[in-house]
Amino acid sequence: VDFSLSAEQAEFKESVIRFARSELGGDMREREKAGEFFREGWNKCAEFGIQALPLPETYGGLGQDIVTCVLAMQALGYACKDSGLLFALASHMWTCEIPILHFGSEEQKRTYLPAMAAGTIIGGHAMTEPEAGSDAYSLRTTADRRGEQYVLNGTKTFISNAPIADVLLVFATVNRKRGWAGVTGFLVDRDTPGLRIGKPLDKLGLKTSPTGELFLDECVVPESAMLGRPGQGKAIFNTEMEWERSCLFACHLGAMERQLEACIQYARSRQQFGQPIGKFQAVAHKIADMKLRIELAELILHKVAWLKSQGKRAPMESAIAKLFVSEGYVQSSLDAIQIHGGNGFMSEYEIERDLRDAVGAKIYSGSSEIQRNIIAGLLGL
Amino acid sequence: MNSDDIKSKLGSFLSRELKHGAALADDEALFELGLDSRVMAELLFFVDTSFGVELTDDEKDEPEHFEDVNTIAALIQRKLGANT
Repeated sequence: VDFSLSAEQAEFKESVIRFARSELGGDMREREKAGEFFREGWNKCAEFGIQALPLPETYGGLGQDIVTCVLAMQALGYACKDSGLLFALASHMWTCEIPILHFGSEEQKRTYLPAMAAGTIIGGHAMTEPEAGSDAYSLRTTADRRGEQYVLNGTKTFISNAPIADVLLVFATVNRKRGWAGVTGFLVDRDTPGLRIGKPLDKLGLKTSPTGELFLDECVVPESAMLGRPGQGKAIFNTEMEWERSCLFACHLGAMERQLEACIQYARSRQQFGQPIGKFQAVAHKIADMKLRIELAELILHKVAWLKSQGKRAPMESAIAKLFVSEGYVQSSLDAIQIHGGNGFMSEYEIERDLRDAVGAKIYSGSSEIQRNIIAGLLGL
Repeated sequence: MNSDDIKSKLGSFLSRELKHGAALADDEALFELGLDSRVMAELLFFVDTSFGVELTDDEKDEPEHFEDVNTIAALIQRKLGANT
């Protein structure tokens, strides 16, 4: 097994770190207070090529493999403190660009992908409903066929990017009696009559990532807006989740690396009882555990990326990665606060924000409980 | 194993899961009987252990394979044929 990065991959990762440090800073504390999306940062990411990474050159992309995408996301998580911006990028790239690339018609690809790669339009993903969270395929939004068109009716909630999205991948059922086999994806433009986007929802963390509700009331879309075939929603959803569970969670791995460096630096410099607090095992062991989580998270994330780069599906591995990284991220965020003591609890040190940003990771992309269900189900239980 | 044997085993299993043991026709629409993700997981395990057939992730996500006993049996038979 060769764990080394190629020279090109290592250089690319470094270049993303340099880019994020120089261009994605700004006054994060003020943006967070205002709950403001970092549009300038989004545009700079597009100039650098972030949104174009996984797409082929034919559609304005850079044609990078998933291993390189994971490295780029890890680098962004490490060097950019605006987790909300990274979350918005993830929603756009992994749950909108990738489904269009894999399941879209040639016309859909040409219509959306070049503009999404350039960052000039923003994508969102609308699956969750008030009564369909973890039980995603029990969704109630309907898509009724009328001639050459489909009429969408229903409500979506907790939709990342909804307030800023230009196009949304909306999941609806073409036949509720068919359960998961009726779930179908539709690409719905923001200005489509019958689509209304609610006010941004306030959240515990990820405050710079706009989240909102969608209301579909007799929203008419042409048959050509369907992504894939009727009933292909599950295949679309599972495919994008494997990408999201590796690439989005690579950002969290990067954040954990940043936390570790901050904790080591603090534990070396902060003196109590006449010596650096890092000399106390109670502190040092926490830092050792943080390192342990990072190493194991990196292994499983890179394994998922490698499997997918071989053209394989990775439902088990991506569920394990999602579960391990999200729970590790929360624990490391708690440890980082504890190591920093009162300073860690204060906003000024920008340590506590990671915890607020991390908690959602145990819920979105399938909760920890659902990941354990997936793993158990794949073991035949 | 011929097609009738496969259908018979599948029918017995699915009638227990979806109809409390009542008779299930080979062309009866399984999704309308409640073939949800829980029953799917049971079905996939049954197919694996009873026929030695492991479906790919793409096959598992394709509803057309699971419309009724006939379509599932056809998939199993195709895969068994491919393995011999």
